[in-house]
Amino acid sequence: MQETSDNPMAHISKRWESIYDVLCRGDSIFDQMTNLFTLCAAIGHLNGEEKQPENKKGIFRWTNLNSEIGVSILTAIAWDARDRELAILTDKRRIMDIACDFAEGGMQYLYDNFFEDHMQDGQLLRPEKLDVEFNLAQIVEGLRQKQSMF
Amino acid sequence: MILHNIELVDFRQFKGRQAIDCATGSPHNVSVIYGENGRGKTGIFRALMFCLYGDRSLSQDELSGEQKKEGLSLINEVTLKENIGSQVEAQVAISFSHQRKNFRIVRRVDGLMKTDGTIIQNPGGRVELQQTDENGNTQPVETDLEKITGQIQEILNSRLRDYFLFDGERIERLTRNTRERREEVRRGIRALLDLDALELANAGLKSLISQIEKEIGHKSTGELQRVYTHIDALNTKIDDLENAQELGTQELKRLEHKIYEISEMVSENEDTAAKERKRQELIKNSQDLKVEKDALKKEMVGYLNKSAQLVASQLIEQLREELEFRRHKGELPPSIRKEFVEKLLEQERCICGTSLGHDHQQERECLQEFLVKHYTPGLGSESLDLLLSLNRLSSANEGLANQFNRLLVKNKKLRDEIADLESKIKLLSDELKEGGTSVDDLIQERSRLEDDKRTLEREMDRQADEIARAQDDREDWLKRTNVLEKQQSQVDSLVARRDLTKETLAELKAIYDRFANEAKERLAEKSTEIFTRLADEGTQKDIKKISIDESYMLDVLNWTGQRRLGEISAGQRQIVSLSFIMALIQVAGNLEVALFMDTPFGRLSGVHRDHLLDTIPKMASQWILLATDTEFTEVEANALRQTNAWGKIYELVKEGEGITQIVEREVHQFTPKRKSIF
Repeated sequence: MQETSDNPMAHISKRWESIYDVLCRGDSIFDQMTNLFTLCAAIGHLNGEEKQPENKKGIFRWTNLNSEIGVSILTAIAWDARDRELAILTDKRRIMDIACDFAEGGMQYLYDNFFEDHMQDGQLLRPEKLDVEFNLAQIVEGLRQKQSMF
Repeated sequence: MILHNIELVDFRQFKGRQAIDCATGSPHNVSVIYGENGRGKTGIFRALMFCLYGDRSLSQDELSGEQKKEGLSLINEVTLKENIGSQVEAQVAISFSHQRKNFRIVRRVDGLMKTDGTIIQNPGGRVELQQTDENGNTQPVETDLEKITGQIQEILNSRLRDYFLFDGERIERLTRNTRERREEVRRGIRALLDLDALELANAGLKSLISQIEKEIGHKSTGELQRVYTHIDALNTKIDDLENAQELGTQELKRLEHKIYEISEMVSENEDTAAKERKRQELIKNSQDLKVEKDALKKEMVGYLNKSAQLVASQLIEQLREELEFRRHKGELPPSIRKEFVEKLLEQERCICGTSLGHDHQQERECLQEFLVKHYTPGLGSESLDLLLSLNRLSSANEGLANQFNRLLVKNKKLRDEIADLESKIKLLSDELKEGGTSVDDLIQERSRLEDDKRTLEREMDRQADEIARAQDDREDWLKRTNVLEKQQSQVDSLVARRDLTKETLAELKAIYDRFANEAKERLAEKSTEIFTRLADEGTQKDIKKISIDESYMLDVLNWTGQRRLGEISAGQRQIVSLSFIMALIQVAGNLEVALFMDTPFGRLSGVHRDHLLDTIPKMASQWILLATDTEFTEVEANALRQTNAWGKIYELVKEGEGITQIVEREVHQFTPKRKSIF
């Protein structure tokens, strides 16, 4: 499918591919990659970490996003990141580009704070052994409290 | 299958000829076999499995070398000693009825004891089956092993039999969220539906695909051939790993049982019994907490999928306020469509008919100003949808944060409790190791087995990882083949055949899944119905239904549909498992089958025991209880008497080393050794 402004593609760095794969595969933690991507974008935005994916890999398109959580949050991120300019609200292509940069920063944060210690040969060890659920939940809770401090 | 009589001759610890007449038919369909630990309750089960299926050992026996091939020594050792150098025969005969026909099956095994004490047991055995039809016509005795095996399988499928004899205290394992337990539930459903034929077809198609792929590989050249060779190697690797996993699962089961057996033996030693009982209690508590923690994890997964909104809650609020402000100003959505005003300007005519040409420059400017003032880029009808979504997210945020917090607090509490229990278990284990008692060897052996089990579990996890990676790898390579295959016309017809087979396989899998899902739904519904009869009032208030999820995990849901397995007690989980087994019997068309239960009441509260005693006799065709003196007390005996279903009671009495006598007692006069569990 060709890249269109109506249905842009979400990209991540190739180096995060295995993490997305393990956390979103089968009956793993996230039902869809969109949910992990949105979480990463929210984390990246909250921390002000915006960086372009390297060695890009497309993982889903705009229409795969959950219309309530995914679309709303990524739109809000783009709006805030570009001086709260309302014109961006309908520009899916720009929203997605901005989201990709923040998702990259968010995943880097998760990697530095958690995943890095649990990688082997470039692969994330099995989630069952890791208690990923509660480690991630703890990180999310910390960030939730951090945002309410500002 | 309804059991009428079990007759044992010099079988295991039952010396000479001994028999058990089972209570059959309504209303007296309950038999109790009462005995302390080590009196031979497992021996009776062993006799049943030997006679019906020719099993010379049970899955839980740890056998090695020659024993593995030949099985356990089944002949009574006292009788062998009395007849050193001569052949001795052990025999089990079972009379049973099935679908209005009567059967008597007899299986024998012989052997001798040499002067040096070695026992030689004949590897072969003789079996005979006689059938009498409903009119009383008796058919000739059948002695063909193959025919007898086939007939018994038809009556009670050997894979279903594990559901009808079980240890009551350990049956709650069905509710544990482990690979083995999910596999066990899956096996029950598969055997119930007799899905083997579909699985065979499935395997056949897979093998056909593999053959065609090999052929394509041979006929292809260069890159495609290299890709196929690689995929073929990955297929072999995945098959090998999956086989290793299967073997590992069986080995784990054996180790678990052996550890359990040794623990039982350790408990019998007075010096260490108290510590060991404490240790076992702590291990059970720790396992229960781990199950609870697993259920908590599953619940957290649901919230993690929405967790982005927690991290972005302030942002959601800010954009929501901005859009609400715009809506308040009438910009969202604008009362007049932008396209309409633009069209008026383009046609140079106002809605009132006034021309907007050069003569009416003022009106034209008015409309242009209106456009600039009232239409903000980015705000349109879709922004209203965005606002609605933001409003919903905003009102859901507080609830989500509370749930998140609740689970985190609970998880921390559980983690601390588990750590505390584990340190206590370690302390007790160390004390038991240093005790200098006669059970030291057993304890050391158990530690070794526990180490083996942990090593095996780690190895199986590693294999599972490797399987997942190889499958992903194969997926990537398959994608490459799709591209390369299109470039090679000579393999087109083979590819077409392969694709067709793959489609058939996918269809077959869909049919299989549909059947399995329907069965799961029926079973969940029936399990819930039975659960409401077995559970006490408090439990029923907490639990709305039993569910069987896509990974064959048994779970319970509360009134709001939340998973609550982690929050119910071990006794309640036992009730959930029993409800599932009774549902299996009923969904299979009210299977006429004897239900054997070893230690049926160990973990159950008084009300649950009463419900079980009242309900099971009405639901099962026949109920045979193998109960210890500590759980079958006067309270249970009186409750069972009141059902009017209790027909037989036998006591297993130890008469000497290696000899247990089966003694029949009067149901109306029998007084258990203990008054109550307290």
